[in-house]
Amino acid sequence: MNRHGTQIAKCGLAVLSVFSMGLMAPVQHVQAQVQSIYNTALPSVIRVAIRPFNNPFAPILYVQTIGFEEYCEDVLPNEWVPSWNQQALEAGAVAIKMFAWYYTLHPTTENGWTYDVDNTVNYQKFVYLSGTPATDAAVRNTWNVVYTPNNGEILPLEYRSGWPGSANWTFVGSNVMSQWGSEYWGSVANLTYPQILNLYYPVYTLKFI
Amino acid sequence: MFGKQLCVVMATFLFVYGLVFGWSGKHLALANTVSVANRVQMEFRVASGKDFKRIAGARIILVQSNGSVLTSGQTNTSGVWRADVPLQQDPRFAGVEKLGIVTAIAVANGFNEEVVFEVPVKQDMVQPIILNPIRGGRRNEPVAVLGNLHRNALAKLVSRYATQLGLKRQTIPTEFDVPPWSPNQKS
Repeated sequence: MNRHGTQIAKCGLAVLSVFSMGLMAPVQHVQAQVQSIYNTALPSVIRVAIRPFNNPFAPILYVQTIGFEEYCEDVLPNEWVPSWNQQALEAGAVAIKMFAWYYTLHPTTENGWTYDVDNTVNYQKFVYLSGTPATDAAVRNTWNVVYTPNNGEILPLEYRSGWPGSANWTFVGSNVMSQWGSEYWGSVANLTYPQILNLYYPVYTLKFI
Repeated sequence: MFGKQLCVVMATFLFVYGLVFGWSGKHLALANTVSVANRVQMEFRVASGKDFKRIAGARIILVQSNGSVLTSGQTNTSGVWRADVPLQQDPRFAGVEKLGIVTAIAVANGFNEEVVFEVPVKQDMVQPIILNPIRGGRRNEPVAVLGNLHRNALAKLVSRYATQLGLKRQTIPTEFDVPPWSPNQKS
């Protein structure tokens, strides 16, 4: 009787433990949904919806699939200015990559077209084959660098044009980088690209992949 | 006495002559230097709109604002033509950006012609041209596209004329980037 009772207790514990594991499983699943640099590989390609004349309001002509690094090289000279300070270009290269990486994980379907980004300022201005030596170098120099919150979550680094020739103080600490501001901080204050990024995205940190 | 005066006049004449013509010669040389420095190197990259492969042997004709042919050349095996062209300032961008504007006409075997208007002329400028393949039994006519003007150049152009007219900017409550111009003038 006593031995039988022990067996029942053992069985009950086993069932309970299996049941409790089953209850815990969804919690682990939710935690795994955060897409971070620790569980998500850098994309090899990206789908770009092409709108005529880079017009953000125009209908989609076609979707072009292109290598992810080539995409970044064909965005940087159109978002930043190739003749700008190299540190500003490298800050831009990191922002462009993180922005695009996020949207490869969050694609859009519009009028039957499925794409990650388009070629306009709805996302980032992309012109196929427009890479320049200076901007290509900036993309290459920062290719193993990411800029994320502490948990490594892949989030878009937002940016705007800002005011030409000024420090663009309104953007500092806002989690939105000013393109003109990055040029100012790079060329006038001689800041490095991690320092420029830190000015605009203070809660993010630089990591290597 | 008269001889002494003559000497002074002659010396003054020679001094002024040397000063004027010497300076002019120097200035002329400087002008030539500036003219040479105003030439810029640009790159045209031509690819197919069907498979995005580079097109070798495509011909690009650059036409300047007065309608004459500026230069012409063909792409290499990488689909690239490097052009050396004079930078003639476009008056619309004067005082805003050192920028010239030309029209490019691209033709290639197996492809429709393309006219690229407003191609910016600037050092190290890259102008991609994507050509459409010829389609049998269809109308194969030239198409018009716009040159790769940088976003900043466009913004500067708009600001130049908006400022000239004394316009004021709009306000966007949810955005702290530079807002678009308003049709209203500053009061």
